[in-house]
Amino acid sequence: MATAFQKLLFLVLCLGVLRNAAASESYSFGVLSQRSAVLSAQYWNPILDYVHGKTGIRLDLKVARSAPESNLEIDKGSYDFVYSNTIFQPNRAQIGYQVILKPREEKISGQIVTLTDSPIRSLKDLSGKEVGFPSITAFVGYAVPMDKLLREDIKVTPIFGGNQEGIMAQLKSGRVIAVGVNNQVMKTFATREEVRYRVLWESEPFLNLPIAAHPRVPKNIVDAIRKTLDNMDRDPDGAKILEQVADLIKQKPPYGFRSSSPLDYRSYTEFYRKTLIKDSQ
Amino acid sequence: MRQSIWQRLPLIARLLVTASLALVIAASTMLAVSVRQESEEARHDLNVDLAMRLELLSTLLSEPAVIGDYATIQQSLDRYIAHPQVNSVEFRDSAGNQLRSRSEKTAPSSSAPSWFLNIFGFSDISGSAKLIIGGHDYGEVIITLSSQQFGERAWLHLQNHLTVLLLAIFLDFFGIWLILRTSLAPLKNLEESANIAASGDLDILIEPAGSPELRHLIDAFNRMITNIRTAQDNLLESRQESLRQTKRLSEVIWGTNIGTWEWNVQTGETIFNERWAGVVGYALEELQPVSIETWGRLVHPEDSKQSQELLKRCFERQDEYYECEVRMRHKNGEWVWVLDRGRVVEWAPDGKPLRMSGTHQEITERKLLEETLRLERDFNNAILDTAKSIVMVLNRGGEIVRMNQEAQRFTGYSFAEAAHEPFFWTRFLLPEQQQKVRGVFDNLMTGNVVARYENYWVRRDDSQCLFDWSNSLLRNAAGEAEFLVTVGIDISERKSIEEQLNKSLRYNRSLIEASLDPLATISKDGKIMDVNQATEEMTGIVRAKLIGGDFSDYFTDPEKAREGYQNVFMTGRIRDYPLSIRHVDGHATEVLFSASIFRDEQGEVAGVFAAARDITKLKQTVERIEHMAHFDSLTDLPNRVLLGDRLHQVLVSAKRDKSKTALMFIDLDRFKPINDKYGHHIGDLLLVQVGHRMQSCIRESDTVARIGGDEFVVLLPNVETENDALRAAEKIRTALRLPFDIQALTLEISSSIGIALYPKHGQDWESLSKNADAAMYRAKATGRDAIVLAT
Repeated sequence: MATAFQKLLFLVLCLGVLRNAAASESYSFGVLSQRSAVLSAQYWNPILDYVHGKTGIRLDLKVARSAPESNLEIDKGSYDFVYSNTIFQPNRAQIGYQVILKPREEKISGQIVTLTDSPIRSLKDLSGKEVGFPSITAFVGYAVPMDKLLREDIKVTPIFGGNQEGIMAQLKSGRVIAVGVNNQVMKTFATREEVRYRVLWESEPFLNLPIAAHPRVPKNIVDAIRKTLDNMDRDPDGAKILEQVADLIKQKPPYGFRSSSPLDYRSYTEFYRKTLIKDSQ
Repeated sequence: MRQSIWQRLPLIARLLVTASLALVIAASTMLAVSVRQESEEARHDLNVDLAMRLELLSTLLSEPAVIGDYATIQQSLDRYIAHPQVNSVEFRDSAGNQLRSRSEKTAPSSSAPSWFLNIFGFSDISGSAKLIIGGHDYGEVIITLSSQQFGERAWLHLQNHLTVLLLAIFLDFFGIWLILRTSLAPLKNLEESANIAASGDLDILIEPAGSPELRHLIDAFNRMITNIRTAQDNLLESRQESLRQTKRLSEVIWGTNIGTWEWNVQTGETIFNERWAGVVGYALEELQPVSIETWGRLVHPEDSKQSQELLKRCFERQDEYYECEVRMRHKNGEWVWVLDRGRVVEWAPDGKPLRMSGTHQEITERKLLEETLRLERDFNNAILDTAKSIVMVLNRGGEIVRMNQEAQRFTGYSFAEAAHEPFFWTRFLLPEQQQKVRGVFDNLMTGNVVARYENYWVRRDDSQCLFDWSNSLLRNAAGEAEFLVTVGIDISERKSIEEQLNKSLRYNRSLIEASLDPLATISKDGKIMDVNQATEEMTGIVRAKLIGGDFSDYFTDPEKAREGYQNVFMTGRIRDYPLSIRHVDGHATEVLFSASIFRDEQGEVAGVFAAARDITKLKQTVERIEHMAHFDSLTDLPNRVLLGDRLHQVLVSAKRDKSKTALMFIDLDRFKPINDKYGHHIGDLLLVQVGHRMQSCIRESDTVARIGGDEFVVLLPNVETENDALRAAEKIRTALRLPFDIQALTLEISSSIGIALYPKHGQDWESLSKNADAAMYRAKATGRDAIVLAT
């Protein structure tokens, strides 16, 4: 009969084998195109390198040209891991991406904003006008505000900027008079670019984008990734990396991730169940 | 010796060769440096361009590299190769996959030769940049840039520079040839002119031509020729001037009437002029043949010896000049004085004199004048030396230049001892006076007049005498003081007498001033001549102002003063003549004057000597005694004596006017107890106040008198009725009943008054006083504090 020590030794050896096995593999890590590809790479590559350093699991960053292209890849199940909230749309539920981590940062909300010196004072003023959105796939940037406009029976012509900062740049330049945006991305952008804006409407808060895993990824890999990212902000090296990349996009603390499950994102599924918009992708 | 090729080359050729070589070397160096610099600048520009292009292309390819969009990367590369300077561009991802631009460039054939490009380093450069995003290697870009266009441009520049260089060398050659060809013509002209000048013809000035240097050279040549001509002219003029001067000199010598001689010392040959012979009354012809023997025959034998000695000193160079006054025999047989002067003008190499020249000047008249002056001086000396005064003559330097016998006798110093030492004479002075007398001397010599002064002189044996000095200056022709003649007279004895006299005068003066009584001497015409201090004090006027004034002006009664003054002249003196002297502040002093006349040396009356005695205090004493005789010393009220006088006067006038007079006897009641209780001092003070109250109750013409103890009498002249007297008495009685405040005491008394009336109760003092006294006693008897009229 094996002693307790022998059992423990066997377990450690099995974990070591697993780790070595994982170390020999690489997984794709798709990021919803919210910012430019270079900025996304500057943000995520240090984090993914940290994971690789801690677990030996290589995560290859995948950035599409635009959010719709990101969603196409998600639809095809191309990414092993995904950083996106479009997975909660009803038509993607069958793909089976499972939430494993949620961001520590405060919740996000959808906003319809205009520049401070704009003549637009209320949502009704937008009736019949062009309103900008990041992309048709943006949740708090399009689905949530557009749903509001539909419920208020305000007819607008949507214009898409490709991603969050893309449409914000159009607002700044005056190409569009109002935009639907992620409140945090908007605040960060406004601080960096020195833009003064007025919030016409703001939605209920939603958790920010989750990290989800495709069902094909082995559970031990998923757990290792979850555990590493969950602990990253507690590790001095990890915390330093998080702080440095947050500075690139003027992200406010707290930084890092916490383990999560689909239950934390029920507000998304609830929204999609009730929304009036039909073109969300 | 055979010349080298260079030496055989003409100037033009030499200049052409050296200038060309210099140009070629300098230009080649400049071109090489220029092209090398251009090459380095091109390389630097290419490197900067490459770095910029790498950065731009990296930025351009970052996005598609991250996304993995190789199609976009390929399109970017294909577009980029179109840039003219880009030879090739390439992208390699991190896995080593390579993307190149699809179209490769074929370099166009270069116009610049390859050796040129190689020598100056015009070659292609390439560089690469990694695409590191978020710490992740996404590959690298590689760019190669061509330097061909820089090389071609440098080659073109070189060709242009070479063309300019060839043109510069050609122009250089042409310019040198042209300049030298035109410049050498004036040089040839100059050479020909110089040759003509060398032959003696100086009329050959050249017109300046050619370059500035040649013009300067020709100008210098012309100046040289001109200077030679001027020098020739000056030489000629100088020669003529020399002849003219020689002639003028001869005329001057003749005009000065001075004979000249020249003597060859070695040969004895001598040359005299006409005047030399004329000095001794001869024509030169008469003395021919002349030689040094001619002079020897004519000179006085006694003077010849002296002359020979002086000549010897001159020949031995002890004296620079020979000068001797000699007598020479005149043709008329008399001796004439001649000043013979000369100098050796030429010496032999062995130091012996060769030739001597000099002059003869007749000085007979001067010698006679000198003799006259000597006699004059001796005469003066005789006078000075027999004088009993000290006489000294000082020069401007303070030296004694003359000192008579008396001065030498008095001081004990001989003239030889005292002379030639500046300010030797100051030792004759007292030490404390030396500086002062030096100042007097300096003042005198600068022309300032100094009055006669006195000082003491000290003999060699230290005895002293007082001298009175007078001075006079001897001036030179320019009017400047040259000598000081000072004459001193011994006044010691006279001074002693003066001192005694002054002492006596001071003594007399002190006596006058010591008098406390005013004293004055007054002239015959009444003017004050002198006063003492007491007079100043009594008049308040200082002596200086008093003297000269009319004496009567200082008395309150000038007329009376003048009257008294006249009495003095009539009687010879007056005594105790009363006058009042007026002080300037207005008050007067009573005096008694005594005066007597005084006479001058001839016995004539000169004036009056007056003395005044202040009697103010004496008069005050008399007045005080008189007051004490008539007034009560305690109450200052009239006493019994004065009361008697006044009653007598009142009764006389009452009898005359037939008027009434009242006499009151007043005795104080209860006075004695007060006196006993509080003492005499309080009693006296009470009596004084009683007197004051009584006086306040009566008329001004009435009299209150105290006749003893507490008894008072009131005299009321001119009363109409008895009632008038009774009212006055009642007023007094009432006043005395009021309390008296004396030194914190309140005292009360009363009075008993008896009244007698003239003529009813008596005709005289005795009867009136008796009746009044009796009435007063009755009033006492009735119980005091009462008034009783006599019966």
